[in-house]
Amino acid sequence: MSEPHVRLVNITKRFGNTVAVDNVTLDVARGSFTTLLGPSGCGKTTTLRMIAGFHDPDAGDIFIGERRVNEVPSHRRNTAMVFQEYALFPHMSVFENVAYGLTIRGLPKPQVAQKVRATLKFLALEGLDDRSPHQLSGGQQQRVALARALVMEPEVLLLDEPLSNLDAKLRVSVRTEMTQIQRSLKLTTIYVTHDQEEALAMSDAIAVMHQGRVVRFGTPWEVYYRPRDRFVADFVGLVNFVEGRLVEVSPQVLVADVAGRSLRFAPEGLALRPGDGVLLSIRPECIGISLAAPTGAANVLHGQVAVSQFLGRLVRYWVAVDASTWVVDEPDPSTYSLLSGEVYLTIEPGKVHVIAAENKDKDEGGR
Amino acid sequence: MRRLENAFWFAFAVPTLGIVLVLFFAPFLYSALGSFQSKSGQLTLDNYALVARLYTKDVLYTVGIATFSLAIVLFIGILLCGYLRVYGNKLVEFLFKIPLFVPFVVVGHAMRVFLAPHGILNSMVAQIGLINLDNPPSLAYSWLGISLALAWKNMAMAVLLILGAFRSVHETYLEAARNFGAGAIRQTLDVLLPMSASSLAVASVLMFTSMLASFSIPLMIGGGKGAQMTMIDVYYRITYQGDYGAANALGVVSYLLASGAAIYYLRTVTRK
Ligand SMILES: Nc1ncnc2c1ncn2[C@@H]1O[C@H](COP(=O)(O)OP(=O)(O)OP(=O)(O)O)[C@@H](O)[C@H]1O
Ligand SMILES: [Mg+2]
Repeated sequence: MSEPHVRLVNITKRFGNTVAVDNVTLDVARGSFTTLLGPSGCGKTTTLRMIAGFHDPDAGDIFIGERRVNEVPSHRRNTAMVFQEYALFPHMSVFENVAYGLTIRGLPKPQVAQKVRATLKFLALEGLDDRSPHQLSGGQQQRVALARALVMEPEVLLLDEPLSNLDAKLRVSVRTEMTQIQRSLKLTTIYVTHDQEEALAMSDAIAVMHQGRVVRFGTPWEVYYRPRDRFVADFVGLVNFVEGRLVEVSPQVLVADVAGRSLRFAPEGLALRPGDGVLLSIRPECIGISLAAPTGAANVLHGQVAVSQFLGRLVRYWVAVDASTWVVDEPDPSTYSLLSGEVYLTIEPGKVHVIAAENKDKDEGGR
Repeated sequence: MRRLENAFWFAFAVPTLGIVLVLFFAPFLYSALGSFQSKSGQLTLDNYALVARLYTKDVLYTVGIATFSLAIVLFIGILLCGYLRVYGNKLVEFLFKIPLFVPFVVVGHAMRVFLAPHGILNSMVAQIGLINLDNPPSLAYSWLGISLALAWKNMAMAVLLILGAFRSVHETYLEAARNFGAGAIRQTLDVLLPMSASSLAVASVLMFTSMLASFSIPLMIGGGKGAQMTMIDVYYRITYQGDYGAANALGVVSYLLASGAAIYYLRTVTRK
């Protein structure tokens, strides 16, 4: 993508004995929506707070544009933060909350009023000026918090799980709204969430964090279909893991022996040799399922439906093949009552992803 | 079952209520009633007439001193606690809590030594040649001396109460303000103060009441002539004149002032 706007270089942050953020390096592209995604306690908030200037890193450098901002106080970094609990001042009206930052900046009153009005209008909050935060719905509070940040015209917008206090339905509509706002302003945005669906839906780039480290950084598609890491594959969506040993290697195709069956898949440009052990991942929606034996498919497995679940827009099957169980998502819900008992699974070679490979000579996992 | 439980709680509450009634309300009611009785026991308003005639000035003087000391305490206390809440400083916090452990009489004495005409403060100021020690001004034996001593003594309590209230304001509100560029003073005045207004009101009423009722400090620092604080008047009325009726009336007036302050503050807080 374009030039980096926010750059973290070997950032580390410790709290006593806990290493909250461990040697993180990350380039956030200008104008992008970049998400820090990971389970609770992986260091997302700490990373965001170091960018905002609420924590000093113990090691490493933070750049915003050309400027190294490690020692720059929070309000001189041109960042604006939206907090998880919003932190709207309860004793101020909506208008006063949004105006507060500009007032501190010493802007003349008419100018403050004009900017606040424009921002409230932009976020469809007109008419709520005089309300107190506790007189607003969760979604409105969230928008006021966003307005309070946007009115400052920040260079970088920082959001810490801003949707987590909203109910599921509202969350989906607000996230669409927020994506539109961000796209229209082309504002560099760093977003923290532990919700993988949210991350996939909203982001230009996702940094998956695990135990203080960034374990995968890429587009939503890359993170989902090319996770390159067992943790990432498992955390982002549902996945079938398969272990095998390579029996055939050619530029067009790799063949692995998986519990006595051969599985053919695409080489992805990896330098592998016969005899190497591989860990493969296959998404449930990438597997076909049928009652009749398919013809001409590269990989066919024969198994028994153990459990099936009707999930509305899809049907999820657990299929026993020999000693292992495969999860398969069938997008056509009308198959629900039809598929049972003996079934055939088909897997296209392009849908198999190599997570990790183990060289047979060196006894070392190379990822 | 429900009945039994209620009976149990009732049995449990009765002795407690009894103690409260006997130990707190009875003496209070007794002295309030006493303020409406003459020496021979007849109902009368004479005591209040006497208070109005002799002590109106003293009552105003007392309210003035308590208000002024409270203003000093709140001004310093709020800024100091704002600083302590935003930056944190264990040593300063500890130093300001020391007066909590110093008895009133000791404060009075220390302040008297410090503020006297030939006391430490004047000696220091004379050293730099600002005043002439042959005819020294004195803070002791004046309303200002009493106010300063009361403020000094109440400072610790104020820090304890105000800092407690400020600490209960969640850090993210301060971070939000800091992110906008608010310094320690703006964080204190714009965020901490309004968000802990109700606790501060309670603390103010507590301190105001204790200042109204202060005795040993005005006794030791106050001048012998001119206006006196009401508790001194109560003391003289009883020990030298044996006049319980007027003393009780003064007590009731003090009580009304204190509850007036409480009602005023509660009003201003609940209106918000
Ligand atoms: N102020 C602090 N003092 C001590 N430890 C902290 C502090 N802040 C965070 N930590 C620790 O650092 C680690 C990372 O915390 P962080 O808040 O960044 O996680 P997170 O990814 O935001 O998690 P969540 O999804 O639960 O918000 C955790 O182990 C946490 O306990
Ligand atoms: Mg967090």
